[in-house]
Amino acid sequence: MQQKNGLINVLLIIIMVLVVVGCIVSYLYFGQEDVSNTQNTIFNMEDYPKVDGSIATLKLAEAFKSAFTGEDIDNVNITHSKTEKAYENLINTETDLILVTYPTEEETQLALNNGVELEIYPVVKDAFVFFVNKQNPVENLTLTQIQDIYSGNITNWKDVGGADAQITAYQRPSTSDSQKGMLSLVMQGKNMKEQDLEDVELWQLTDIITDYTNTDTAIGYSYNYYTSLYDKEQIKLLSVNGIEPTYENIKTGLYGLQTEYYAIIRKDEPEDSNVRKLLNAMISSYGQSIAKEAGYVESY
Amino acid sequence: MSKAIKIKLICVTVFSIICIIITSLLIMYKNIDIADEQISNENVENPITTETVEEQGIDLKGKYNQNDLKIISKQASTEKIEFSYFQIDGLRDKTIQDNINKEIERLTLNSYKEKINIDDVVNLSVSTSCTANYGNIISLNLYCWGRFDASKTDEQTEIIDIEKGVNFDLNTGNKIEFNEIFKTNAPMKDIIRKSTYYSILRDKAETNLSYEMIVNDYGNIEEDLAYVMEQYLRGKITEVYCTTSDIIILFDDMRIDIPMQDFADYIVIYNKFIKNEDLYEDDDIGIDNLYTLTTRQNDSYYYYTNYQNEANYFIDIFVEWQEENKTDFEKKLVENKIKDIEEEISNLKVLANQNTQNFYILNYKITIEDYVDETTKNTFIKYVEIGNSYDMTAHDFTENIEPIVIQKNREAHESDIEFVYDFSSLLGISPQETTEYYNPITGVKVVI
Repeated sequence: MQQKNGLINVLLIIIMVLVVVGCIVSYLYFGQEDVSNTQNTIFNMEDYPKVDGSIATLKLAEAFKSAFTGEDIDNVNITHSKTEKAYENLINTETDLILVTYPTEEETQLALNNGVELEIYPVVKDAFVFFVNKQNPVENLTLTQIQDIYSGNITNWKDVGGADAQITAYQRPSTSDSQKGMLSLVMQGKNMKEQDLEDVELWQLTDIITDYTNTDTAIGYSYNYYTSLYDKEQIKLLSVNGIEPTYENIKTGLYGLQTEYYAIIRKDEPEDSNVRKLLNAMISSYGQSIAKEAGYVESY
Repeated sequence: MSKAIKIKLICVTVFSIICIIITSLLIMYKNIDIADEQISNENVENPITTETVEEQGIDLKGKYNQNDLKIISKQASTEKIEFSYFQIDGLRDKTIQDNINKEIERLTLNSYKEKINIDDVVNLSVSTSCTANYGNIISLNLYCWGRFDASKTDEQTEIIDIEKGVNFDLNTGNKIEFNEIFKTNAPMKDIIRKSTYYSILRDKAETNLSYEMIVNDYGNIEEDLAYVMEQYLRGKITEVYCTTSDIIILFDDMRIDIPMQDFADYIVIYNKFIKNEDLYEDDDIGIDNLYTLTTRQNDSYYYYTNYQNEANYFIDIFVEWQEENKTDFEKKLVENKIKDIEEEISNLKVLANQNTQNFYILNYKITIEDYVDETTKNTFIKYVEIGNSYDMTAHDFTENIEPIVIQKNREAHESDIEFVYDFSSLLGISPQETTEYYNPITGVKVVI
């Protein structure tokens, strides 16, 4: 009987120890702030490749560097010299990897002229969005309605379910990313009406393409990233063909108007170089989760 | 099973449950901590703010007083550098005054050090000027220009061009940050986007055949705007100064002008730092009752100005003469003219005092300068007086005339035009122009 009691006591002690150990392990595992940061550190700050890119991908580049080096995001010290300059820097070998929009004909030609071949990988997606004043009752437009508004066939909001008011359809300068996107993704060969121009006496400027002003009758467009230029409390993103530009709809491709940002390197980078290691990390499932955490829609 | 074992089992079960509960609570608490940290980080970027009752935008029909401060010019030089800057005098609190003056001097003398090595420079000029002196703030603009020694530097351009700016709160001597210039509920993204858009376009503008400023190449302006917005959201807009009509942001090689007129409702710089406490030793140095977004200088040796804007009279007189080679007659002419003007002002004030329902305006621009007759090659003194005096009802002034006066002052500030008002369309009286010529030695009036 005494032997049985001793065995039970030992068993109970073992159970208590197991419970305590289990609790400690659970606390350490579930309560840990950022396990991934330390688990996936693959570079030192010193050997991290030189990265450049567009302003739209600045936060993405910072998130990648922070995650892949384990450095605090406030200390990663990334600067992006904007799209055009970033391409020049990559081609001139002043940088190793750039995060940018797909190369234009001019940028492709510049690379060819310098004997540089580019390797291009999509990294994150971005939607092309239409926005109106938050007070505007219109929530959705079909692609055809948008084409009609911007070709000048529809001029009143009442024709698309809104109030009886003239539509003020703002456009962008032809050299901007959004105007290029508008022509290729939305208008698809249809002619756009002439842009509204303004004289700005205070600045002594004549015939300037009017910047979007968030009045009740306004409609504007841009890539989703550039909506950061506006107070999001005051504008409303429209659905297109009944599909909202949400994370899920962009990720699955259901929201049709979208583009991607790319990681681009020089093709002659050695297979075992840090640049390729970084590129692979960016498009890995871990890299893509970092992109998502940073507020982007991952490509893979 | 014995009772003792049952008790032990219950104890172990309770212990286990307590351990699990404590662990769960600790995990939840830690996760809430992390979430809170994330939320508070978001709030740094998009602070939730509430408008305070005291915040007042700029009244576009309103007036303001210049600070009762003396602005004293200072010069300094080294082998390669000429410095010109200013110091302030007239604050009651000498500690604050000294701190501001030391900071102005420090900024001026160190202005170039971050960006250039003085060994690479042929020469350099540094000029610090006071661009705003009202509402218990002062702003300064610091400009460095000069030339690199081409043999000693890889700089692409030989020209040195550095600009800086800062605002001081005269109540405390502290620097005023960018966001402090605006109401807490100001639509900052709109203000920055619009101002940056036009500033970039102004820099890109070219003159067409009709002498209009047009833009042919907008570049990727969205990305340029996004860059500026990103800098703002990261709190990196730190180099800022004000004039009476603009807020100017400087960073990288960009100069972004925020016209106060366009965002007047949201700009608090005219009023925010005015407290009940009187900061100044004197009360008659700055000009009072200037219209908002306009300015005047009153501290020159070679002209006389008299600007008085009171309840029922408005005096705006400007007399300009040449300082060098002034003959005795010319000196006397200037003295007499100023004496006449001051007498006329005195009479007008008596009249205004007697007729409080009426409004009186005295407005002259007088120029006294040398004139060389092309035929005889003789030099004469040329006296030109343009302007008039006007009277009207106080109501007429407020409703019809004052908007013209305000408009004229704002235009004058932008393009440096003369302060001669034309009310002929409303009052039927035009500014009168008188031109006279005098022998510079004898003072005899001559006909040319």
